[in-house]
Parts: sequence; C-alpha cells; structure tokens
Amino acid sequence: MIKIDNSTSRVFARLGQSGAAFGVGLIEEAEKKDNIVVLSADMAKPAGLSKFASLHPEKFYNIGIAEQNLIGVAAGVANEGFRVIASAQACFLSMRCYEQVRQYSGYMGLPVIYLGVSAGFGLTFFGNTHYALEDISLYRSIPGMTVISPSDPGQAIKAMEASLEINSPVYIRCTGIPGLPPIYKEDFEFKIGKGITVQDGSDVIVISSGSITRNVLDAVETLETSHKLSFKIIDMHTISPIDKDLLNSCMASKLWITVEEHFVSGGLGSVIAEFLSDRFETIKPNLLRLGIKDKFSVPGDYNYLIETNELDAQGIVKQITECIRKVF
Amino acid sequence: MDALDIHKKAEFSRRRIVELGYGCGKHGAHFGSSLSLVDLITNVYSHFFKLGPSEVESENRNRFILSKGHGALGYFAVLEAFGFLSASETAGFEVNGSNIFAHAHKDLKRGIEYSGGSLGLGVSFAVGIAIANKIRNIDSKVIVLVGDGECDEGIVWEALMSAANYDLQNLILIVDRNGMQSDGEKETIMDQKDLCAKIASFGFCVQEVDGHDHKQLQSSFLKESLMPLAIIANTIKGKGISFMEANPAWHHGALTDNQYDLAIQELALKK
Repeated sequence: MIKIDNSTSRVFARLGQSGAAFGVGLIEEAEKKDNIVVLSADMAKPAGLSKFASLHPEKFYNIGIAEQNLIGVAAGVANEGFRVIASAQACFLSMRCYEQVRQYSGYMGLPVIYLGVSAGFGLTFFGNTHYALEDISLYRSIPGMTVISPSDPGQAIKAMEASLEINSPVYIRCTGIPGLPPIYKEDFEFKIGKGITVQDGSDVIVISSGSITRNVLDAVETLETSHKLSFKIIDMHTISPIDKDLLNSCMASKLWITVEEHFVSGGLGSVIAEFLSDRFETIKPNLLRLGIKDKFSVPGDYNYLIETNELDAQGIVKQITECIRKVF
Repeated sequence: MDALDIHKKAEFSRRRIVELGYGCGKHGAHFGSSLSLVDLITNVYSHFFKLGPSEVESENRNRFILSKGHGALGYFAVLEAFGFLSASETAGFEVNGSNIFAHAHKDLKRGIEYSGGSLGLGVSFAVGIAIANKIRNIDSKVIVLVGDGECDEGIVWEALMSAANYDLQNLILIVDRNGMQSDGEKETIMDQKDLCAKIASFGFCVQEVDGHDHKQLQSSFLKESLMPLAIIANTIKGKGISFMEANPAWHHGALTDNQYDLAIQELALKK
C-alpha cells in the first residue's frame, strides 16, 4: 500500500490523478499481482501509462481510438479471470461506449476497472466535446457499478489499489490537472463506500468529491470567519454506493451542501437528494447543490472554467453565503 | 462425427426451432434467423465441441460466442442436440421466469459463454478472450458468429481491425450472410457491396462457403493461416421451411396451427 506523507503527496500532486494512479499505484500493484492487464484507447501517454507499458508489454494493449472496442476487449480478457483496467478520456469512456459498459459490466457483471482520464474540465481548451460532466450520472446508473471520484492524486492511487481488491466493476473518475495542491499530506485510511470527514462540524455539512474538494476547504475557511456556524466537510470519494451511515449521522444539521465538478443533474448532488428524498421525515436538512449548472461552457484554462462556473473558493463562498442567509 | 450424424443433428435442431417457436404462441420467435444459422452452429459444435458438455468448465475449451443474439432459438436447439441443454430446459423457451429467452444469457454450466442481444458486441468480447488465451498460452479457438445485418454496426469493424492487429490466429469469425435484416433485403437497406473483400482488407483470411453445406463448412474450419479466419457463409433466411425461406416477414413471427403442421410435415419429408 502506498503511504502518503508531506513529501510523496507533493510528488503525486505533480503527476495529477491519473498520472499517480497509473505511474505509481499501478506499477506497485503489478509487481505483486501477475494478472493485471491494462488497455488504453490511444491515451497511454497522457494518462501516465508509458511506464507500465514498457515494463509489462505483454500485459498492455493499446486498442486505438476505439472506445467501444476497448470495452469489449477488456470484458473478454476480464471474462478469463484477469484484472483488467480500461482507460480513456472520461468523456469518451462514459459516453461513446456507455452501452458496452452496461452490457459487459452491468448485465454480465464483469469486474473491469474503468479509469476516466481528464474528467470534469480537465481538457480545458479542447472544449465541450472533451469535458466529462455527466460521467457520474451515467456510470452510477449501471447496477453493480462502484463510482469513485478521488479528491487528490494520492487518493487516486489508493482508489486504484482498493479497486483491484474487489471483484466487481469500478469507475474511477480522475479530475483536476497536474500541479493542484494535495489535500492529504499524511497517510489516511481509504475504504470504498466510506466517506472521509476532513473537518468536523455540525451546523452546515459540505459534501464534496473530486479535486474541487480543495476549493471547498478554502471556501469553508473563509466562511468560518464570517459566520458563527460550524462546518463539517466530507470528502465523499465514493459516490456509488453512497455512505449512508455517514449521512445518517448528519441528519440533525439544517443545511447540507454538495459541491462537484459535474453537471448539477445526476451526480453527487442528485445522489444526496435521492438519499434525503427516501427519508420519510418531516424535518430534514435543506440541500444546496453546487456544480455545473446544466449548460455548456465557454472554453478557457482550468482556473477560468472553474471560476466562470463559480466553483472556485470565491464562487463557492458566494453561493453558500446566499443560502445561509435563507436557512439560518 | 460423420456427415450423416451432422445432418441428423441439424434436422433435429430445425424441428426443435419449429416446436419451441410454435410454443411461444402469439409472442412469436426469430424463426428466420434461427433457421439460417442452424447449420452453422451445428457444424461448429460437431467440429469444436467433440467432448460435448463434459468440457464446459475446462479452461482449455473452445469458445463459441453467438454475437447475433436473436439467433438464440437456433442456438438452444443445437445445444439440446449436442446434450448441453435438456429437452425440458429448452421447453422453457420464452416462458415467464425462464433463463431461456429470445437472446441467450450467459450460463457456463450449459456451455453458454455470452449474453447476447445487443448487436455487434460479441466480436470485441471474442477478441478479448482470444487475447487472454494468447497471454495464458491456451491453445484453443474462439469462434464468433455474427449476422450480415449485424455488420452494419461500427463496433464490428473496430473489433475486426484489432483482431488482425493482434494476429489472433485463434479467432474464427463466421458471418451468417442471409442477405436480409428486419426491414427487408439487405441490399435495399444498407448494401455492404463486397463483404468478403472488406473483411479481407481488414487482415482476415476469408473463405466464402455455402452455409448450408456441411462439407464446405467442415473443411473451412481446417484452413490454416497466419491471419484470423473469416468464414462468410451464404445462407437462406428461414432455410428448410418453404413459406419462411427468404421471406422477411419471418424475421420474427408467430406460427398458426396450420403453419405449424405444414412446417413439421416439410421437415419430416426431408428426413
């Protein structure tokens, strides 16, 4: 298992989420397990797979720019007992081959690990064709699929390790760009389906997933100086299955807020709304869902896209402040 | 298995297609497709599954993938002919709660390797198994059967390209070319022009055969090549039942009592 400390967290941060998962986590796992096969859709280099491909050429298949076939071949190899990781840009790995994922890993239950590279706004100036802002929504609709959105590169490594330990399909959504500051500078326990309480509090519960969690931490720091409220921050890295125990322990709070780099419809916010909707109680928390407001964006660099969608710390502070005025 | 035995298995399977399809009543069944591919699957089982049901869980077994999922009725009939399914199991065809329905559902204990239904998806899956067998040094064949209509799907060509790229000599593609699809004649809907040349250009060793000629099919399996094999089998949709032959209305249809009697009589005469 990878150990996170101040030094390694900075190294992993420079690699970005997929770079760390593939360039560090996968290399270590492949030394221990001889049944790992990795497939890519002409995205090996940007995803950080070059090292694995050169160390294990017999276990690496570049299927070319053909995501549908990527998934079919991955399923066939997984059918024979190999642990298979299929990787492509998250936009295409979710949309272009959605039916294949549903067929092979949903209906047939094959435990492929789908690693989506450059999810969210990661592909910046490539524009809306390359943004993956509905991938959580799609993947979580597949019965039996685990959906993980790591909050920093160190956690992406842990997500990869944990996914190789379970015998069911997993989608790992890698967000952010290389160089974002890490969230975890010391080691922590990562368990699929168990959210991490990054900061404890009781008045407002902020639930986040993905690299945007960094902005949530900064936003809450600001909010705490201007409001006499205590904020709990949950890094909800696993979106499906959702951590119901942790959510149940937060029911006394008046306000829950979800933050994600995903369309507001269908992602983490929707999962939490569904959770609350299924609780038949007269008094329950209000819910504010922050994310991309179901529209396409004018392209720009990563910070530009985050800011124009009000998901930078300042934008999050603004939106939460407006809500706090209504609720408290 | 000699030629007479293969012929008997195929005729048994044809009769079961009619009986089981008739049993569906008004729901109807995919008679046309099942009857066009029944000789193909019968020959695959006689050649590649000589040990019968005893090898269903062997790692070294040959694999048959029915990508053309709606030919499942024909597939089930052949599985019964070769002892993989019992008569009582196939009798569950399209009965509420049964796992034997219009598209085959993966069930290794009964030799069913793949859950079909969504067209085009079986070829990629077969390529994956063929790759896995190469990694494990398992010397067996992966046979995947598609329809010519199914070849309209783009993923089929992605998969063929990758099969040739990875030199999958352990893969055999069979195309059930009955020249028809749901809406009618293939040529009038989406003309594939020279299908053999297309597949050959993707890097396959292509053989064109009469898909109802057992001898031609058996010898096509023996072809040796450094490339993956493709067998383009020219077939007749609804083959064996006069009023179904080359009749697009029988892609999916329901037999009346009189039609059932007529079909059974025709099959009895051929014996």
